[in-house]
Amino acid sequence: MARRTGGPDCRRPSTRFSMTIETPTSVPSSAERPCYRPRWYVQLAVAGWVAAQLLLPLRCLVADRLQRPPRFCWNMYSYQSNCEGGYVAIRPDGSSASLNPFQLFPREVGAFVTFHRDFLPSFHGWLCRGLELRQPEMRLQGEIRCSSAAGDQELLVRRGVDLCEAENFGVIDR
Amino acid sequence: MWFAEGNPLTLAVFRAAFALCLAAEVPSTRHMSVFAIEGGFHLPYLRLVPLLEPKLYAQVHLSQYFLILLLGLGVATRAAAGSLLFLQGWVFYADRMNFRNHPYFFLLVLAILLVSPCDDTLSLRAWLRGRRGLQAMLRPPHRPLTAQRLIQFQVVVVYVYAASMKIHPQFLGGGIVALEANRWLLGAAATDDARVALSSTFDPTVWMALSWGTIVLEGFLAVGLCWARARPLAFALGILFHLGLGLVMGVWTFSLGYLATYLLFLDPETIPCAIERASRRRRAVEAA
Repeated sequence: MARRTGGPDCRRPSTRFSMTIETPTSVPSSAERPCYRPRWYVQLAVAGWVAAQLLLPLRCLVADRLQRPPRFCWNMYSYQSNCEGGYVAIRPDGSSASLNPFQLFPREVGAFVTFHRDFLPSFHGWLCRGLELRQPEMRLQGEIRCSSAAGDQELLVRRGVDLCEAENFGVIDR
Repeated sequence: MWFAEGNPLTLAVFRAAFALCLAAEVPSTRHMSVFAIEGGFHLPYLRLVPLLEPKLYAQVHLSQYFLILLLGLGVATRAAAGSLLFLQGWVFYADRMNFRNHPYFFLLVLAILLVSPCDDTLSLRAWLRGRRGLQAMLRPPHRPLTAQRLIQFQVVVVYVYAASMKIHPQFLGGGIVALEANRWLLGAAATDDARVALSSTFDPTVWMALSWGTIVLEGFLAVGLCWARARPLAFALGILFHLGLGLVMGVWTFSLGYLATYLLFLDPETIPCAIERASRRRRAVEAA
């Protein structure tokens, strides 16, 4: 690859715009700049990068936001989710202890990421393993309702069932 | 366009500005990416990415300052950019709950800088190789502008999708803008009643207008930055927009990092020529 050195004459002011903001000199516009001939793998890498960055976020335009949170989509401050509910651990004698899911994460955002249909089974599995270790006779029940982008609130967890025994850990498929 | 050559000084200036933004981002990432620490519930992308012990987590962030310094100074740049990419990628990909858009954007930029000639000038490496003095800095050998083009492309993609993702009733109705504005005006600790009271003092059409305006502006920035005639206006509006985001939402490192990318939309000769003109003027004043 040949390299060109030397600078342009900076004394003359710009008379036209180029592909980039201004051409303050007699330098040719970027489109007219000498181009190097990259190797095939460089061309392939650039094409792959461009295609990936263009196509990857497309899926989020049609995705169900309650199924999984939009990621790698430049979805910046564009919607708000609201979730309510919680879990109850029930002892064999009928007494219960409530679990506030928003306090189980080091930051509250963890709950809002987890409360999606694709991720809740893993979370329930983790809660169940914790219960199994401490008090295996307890049952876990819960209710999580979420809405996204001001849509209707949807129930994500089946009511009244033992989540540790239920199919898909009690998470309701769409 | 992708494989043109030019003066790499602008990319080098961007490298230095970007390093400052990375340094400013470290404390925030350390505070927010705690899901990478062992213990509790995790949502890994891949089981292959191990979680970190608290002590290692702290060291991973602390060591970034040294690597960022190397990147900023332009010495061992590729090793520094590669190591930063590895460390930041590790924390980022350790858990899905760590996802935030601007660390992701910074990772993409780091990956591009890793294979770029960003340390060919305005760097300790160039100085150590004997390219010293103003002229050597301003007029280094021309290099491929491909990395610069890829970052420009990335910036445009972000604007396009950021605008597209906002086209739904909640955003268009003004709900999100009202929420963010209220957070800013009242503080995060304000009660819901206080927020509702404040929201109701403004006509809802104000929030709607701001929401629609945001989408139109982001769309315009995507086009305007690519269109030479519109670029000065896009620069002015983009600067105001990102300073506004920094102020209202507190996302200063993202805003400033994004504004730093605007440098790459300048013609590669703009900065060298501006410095030369300033230098010539100074010499003329001194001679007089």
